[in-house]
Amino acid sequence: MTEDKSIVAAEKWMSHSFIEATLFKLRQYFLSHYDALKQSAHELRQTQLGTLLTFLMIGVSIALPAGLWTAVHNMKGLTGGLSHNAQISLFLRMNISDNEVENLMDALKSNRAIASVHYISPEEGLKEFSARIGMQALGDSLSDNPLPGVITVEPKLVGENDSELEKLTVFLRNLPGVDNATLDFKWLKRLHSILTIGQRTVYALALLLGLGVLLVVINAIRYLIQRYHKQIQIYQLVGATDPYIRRPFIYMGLQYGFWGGLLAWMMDNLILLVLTPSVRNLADSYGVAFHTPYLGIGALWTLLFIGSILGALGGYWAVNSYLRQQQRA
Amino acid sequence: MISFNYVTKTYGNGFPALRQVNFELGDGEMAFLTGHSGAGKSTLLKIILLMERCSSGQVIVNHMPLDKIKGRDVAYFRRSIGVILQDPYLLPNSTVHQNVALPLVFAGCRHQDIASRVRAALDKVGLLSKEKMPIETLSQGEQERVSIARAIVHKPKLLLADEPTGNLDPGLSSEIMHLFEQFNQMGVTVLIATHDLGLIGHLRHRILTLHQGRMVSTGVRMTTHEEVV
Repeated sequence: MTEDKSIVAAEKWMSHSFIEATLFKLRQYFLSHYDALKQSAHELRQTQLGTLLTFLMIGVSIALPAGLWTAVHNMKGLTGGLSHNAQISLFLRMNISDNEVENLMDALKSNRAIASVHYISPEEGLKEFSARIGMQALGDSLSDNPLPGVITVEPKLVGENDSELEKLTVFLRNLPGVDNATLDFKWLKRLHSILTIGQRTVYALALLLGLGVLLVVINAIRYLIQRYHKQIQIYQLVGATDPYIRRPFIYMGLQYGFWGGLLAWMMDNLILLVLTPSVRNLADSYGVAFHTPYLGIGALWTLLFIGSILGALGGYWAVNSYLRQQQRA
Repeated sequence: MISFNYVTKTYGNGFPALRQVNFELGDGEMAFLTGHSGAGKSTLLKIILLMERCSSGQVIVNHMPLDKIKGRDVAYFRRSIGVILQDPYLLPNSTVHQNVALPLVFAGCRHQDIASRVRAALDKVGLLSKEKMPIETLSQGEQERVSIARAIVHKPKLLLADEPTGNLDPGLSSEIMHLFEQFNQMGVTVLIATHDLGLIGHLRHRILTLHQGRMVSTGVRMTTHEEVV
């Protein structure tokens, strides 16, 4: 009985000591990370000007693609709005009767691809034209109205279905009573193409500038490693592992990227603040709704995340290549 | 404790720093490694510390063949050795305590254990009163003793010293050597590289002599002038 009790007590002690040891190891692990973070923040504070310049360089490198992406995204939004307003103008035959026009209107209204139709009679057209060129008496001075009747058709199809719009235009052109049909859509297509190129350029630029951020961080960390070369040697001499030596430099890179991301967010929002009134005026002139394009909290988190990851990667790469170089030497 | 079997080390420029070196140092022994500058003393210590790898031959330290130790395990291997170099290699802008505590910090010791063991090590080298002082305020001799305290704080089985008295005056040098003898008496294996024959002349320990990379003597000093090879 006494023996059983002692075995249970020993087992209890064993399990207790195992848990305690594991907790201790975990605590030490997190403490060493906390220490490395604190140490890296301290080292960055030591070189204030250099650190600030690095933050700015990283900030600009992140702000540029982020800003361009926002611009392209907003332009896409604008042209999306325009494509909803795409119109096909049907110029009717000169001698078309009112009855034929009515029949044509009915046929168009019943077409599923068409959202709305609006008829502008030759008289209304002339009146509008006179008003537009500022010659109200133009109608009186002409013996015959040279303008045909026009039906404006607003298709249901949106900008992404350019070929469908083209097909619809050809179909409408061949309807009885229609002399010609025009789809003033080519400029919008070109704009879409330009925006697609812009979007791809932004991706390429983001890739290049991301690489730029990596290089900036690597360069900064390499400089710091040179400053702490002797300290690293001492650490290695007395048994510091490579992860222990790497840790503060990775945290330094992470902090470079984090603060660079924050600066990028602030810079982009500042630029957008300056540009927004002009863009809003432009959008208003086209009758397109324009939403505030500021980079919100979601974008901030994204930029902080991307910056931190790039920074940490740069830090890791710099210190790792230094350690490998040392091993080879 | 240490065994060198036909160890050769040739550097990239083709310079042979060690040639076919053979010797053994038993557990608890103390020995001096002597020779002129460039004889290969530092290279031999660097090989034991895995700061360098030998080009051929085999080195066994503490029953471990060094060629079997991978790069990521070097740090753990070094924790079993205490190292003292001519340049004390101390952290500037840190206190005596912080410097001595380093090996214990890397070994993941508890905070309370670190404090008591650092004080014990500092007491052994006579610097307990200077525990909280910044390193820059200490004299060269004191800095050397801090380096010794750091080397012994984690109770290593092997203590290596490369010209530990190189920058010290004769009085301090004798004091330092006396400290090494004390550690040896506690069972620590000690290997000290020095070219100061005058300093070790009166000490009764083995003397290993290197000459142009070759081990020319692995004898035991019986008296100051008599050597058995």
